[in-house]
Amino acid sequence: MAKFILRRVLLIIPIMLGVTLIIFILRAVTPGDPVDQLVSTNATEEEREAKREELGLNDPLVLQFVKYVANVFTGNLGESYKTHQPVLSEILQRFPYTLIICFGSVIIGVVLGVPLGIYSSLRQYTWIDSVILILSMVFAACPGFVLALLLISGFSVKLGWFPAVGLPNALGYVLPMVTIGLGSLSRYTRITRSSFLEVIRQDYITTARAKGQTERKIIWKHAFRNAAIPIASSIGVQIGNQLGGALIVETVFGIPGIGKYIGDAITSRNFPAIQGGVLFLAFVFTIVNLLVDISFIYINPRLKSGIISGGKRKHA
Amino acid sequence: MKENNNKTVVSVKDLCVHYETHEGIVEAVNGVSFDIKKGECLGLVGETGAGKTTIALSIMNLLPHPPAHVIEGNIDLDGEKILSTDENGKVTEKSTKEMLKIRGKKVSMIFQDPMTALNPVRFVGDQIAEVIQLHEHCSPKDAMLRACEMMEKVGIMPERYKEYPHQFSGGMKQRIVIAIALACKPDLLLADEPTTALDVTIQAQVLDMMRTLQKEQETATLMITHDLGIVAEMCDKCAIIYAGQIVEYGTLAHIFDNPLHPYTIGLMDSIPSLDKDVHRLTPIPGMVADPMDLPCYCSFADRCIKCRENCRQGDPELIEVEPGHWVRCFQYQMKKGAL
Repeated sequence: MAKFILRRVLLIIPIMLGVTLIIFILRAVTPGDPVDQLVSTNATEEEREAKREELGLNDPLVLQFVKYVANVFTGNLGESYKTHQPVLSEILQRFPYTLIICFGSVIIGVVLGVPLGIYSSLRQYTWIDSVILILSMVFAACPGFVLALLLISGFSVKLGWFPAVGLPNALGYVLPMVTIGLGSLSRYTRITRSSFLEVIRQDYITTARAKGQTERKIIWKHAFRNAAIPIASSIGVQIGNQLGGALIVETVFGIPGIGKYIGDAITSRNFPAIQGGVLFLAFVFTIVNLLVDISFIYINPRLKSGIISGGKRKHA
Repeated sequence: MKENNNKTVVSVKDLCVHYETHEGIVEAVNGVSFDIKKGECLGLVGETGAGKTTIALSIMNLLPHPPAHVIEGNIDLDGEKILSTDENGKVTEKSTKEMLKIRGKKVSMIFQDPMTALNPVRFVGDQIAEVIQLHEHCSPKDAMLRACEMMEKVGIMPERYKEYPHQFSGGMKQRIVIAIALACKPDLLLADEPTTALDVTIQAQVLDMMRTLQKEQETATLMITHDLGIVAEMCDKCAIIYAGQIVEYGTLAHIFDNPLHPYTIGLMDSIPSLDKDVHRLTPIPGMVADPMDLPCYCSFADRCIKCRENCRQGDPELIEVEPGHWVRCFQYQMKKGAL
């Protein structure tokens, strides 16, 4: 078990290396010179060249890469071109906002989506099942910024319940969370529905009925854990999507999170901030998926013994 | 036969169940009647699709609605009317709420495939304890102790209480399923091909264990199978079912020593024998009657080697040719009419 986790943790290293490499290549092929933003508009070519030399942009790409990786291992993600602050500390300062919104929206999505999915699977092909499916598809099809603007005009402008922009108080988190949460609702509803429809037809559900167990307990004691595996894995994927997609919602709501940070960095060709931000998000995403995989072992006992006996077999 | 006080545990009368699907109506069970007395074991033998499982599910009131549709019938289980039809033909099923007290307690069921009948993410012991706790109203701890007792009875070490189904072999899983079914000492046990999914040696062990427990608890049993060998070993009486109808019913002696219905005779001929040197077994020609398209005459007529003209002119009745031996075939009807 510990061995399994250790192996998965070690796997993070090559994944991170791969991510760094991809970012580097993308950066190299992206048009635009960061120096444009850093020197005055009437700077001479010599001044610009000196700036490039100073930032190490004239080194061969391979050398830049090796230097960068070496720095990353010591926890140094470089310095922002714009603020001359260490990128890591800037990221860590902004990350909590993104994290809170991300978790809040996952909770909203799961708390609403899973019960709706269960409910609609139990009423398959009835009008209520169709209503739930259509509603959840409407939310999925609605772009985040449209939903965000609708929510702002309704709840901030008309009703004045929540701040429209920024985080004057904790209430400022609510609308961004709801925006992302409703957007992910359909995924949870549909995965839960199909997973339950499959589980509810299994023989062991009939066995539970034959025992005289009530429908409610059959759902929670017998079906839920079996249906939970696809739901859990979709949560992992969804968190990744939300981290990446935080950009739009954070921009609309003026939240100083990591999405907005990367967005600003891209427009100003602030390479260290882009690289650091993307690398950091990739890291968080791998960790989340590792946690999801570990949770599988607790949801599904067959996996657990598979891992243990698999390990044993190798030794034998 | 065993000593018993002749108390009828379950009585099924004129059960008729159809499945209404998009392709058409499947006439799964067409007027089946039988009684099982305390401690008695009735074998229900028939091919796949003959309606055996539908009969069992009707007694459990677990038929899937839709597509299943009970046309008529009465099922009386130890004084409880599971299913009743009034004079106007209105069918009333017992409510799910009332069934909760009956399922697992008065009647329980062993399913065909032990591989899928147990919940893969729960301890096997807990799955036995669950049914005990539901019906015996005891503390979780007592339920656990009784579940351990049950495990011991079916020959599994109670130390394995906290293991998952995938850690057991097929035969052991079926023992767990049997332990669940018998944990609350039900009056009636419906065993739906309990050994079909097991290999022959394990089959013998499991059957042996079932018989011991059944004798000990005096459980009335409906043994659904397509294996006449199992019937010979386990049952007191036997009903041969074809296309949703009982075609022959009697004691083991009647069915095995004096089979009368051409279908039963055909089944007997298709069993390999140890003492006779036969080159090839005799099969029953043709295919099982399609329950979506049953003829309006004897449903076996199209495969029957003794089929005569009048066989295609109506549906034969089930008649008693000798005490306790019933046959649904025109040959005997005519003989009886001639007498």
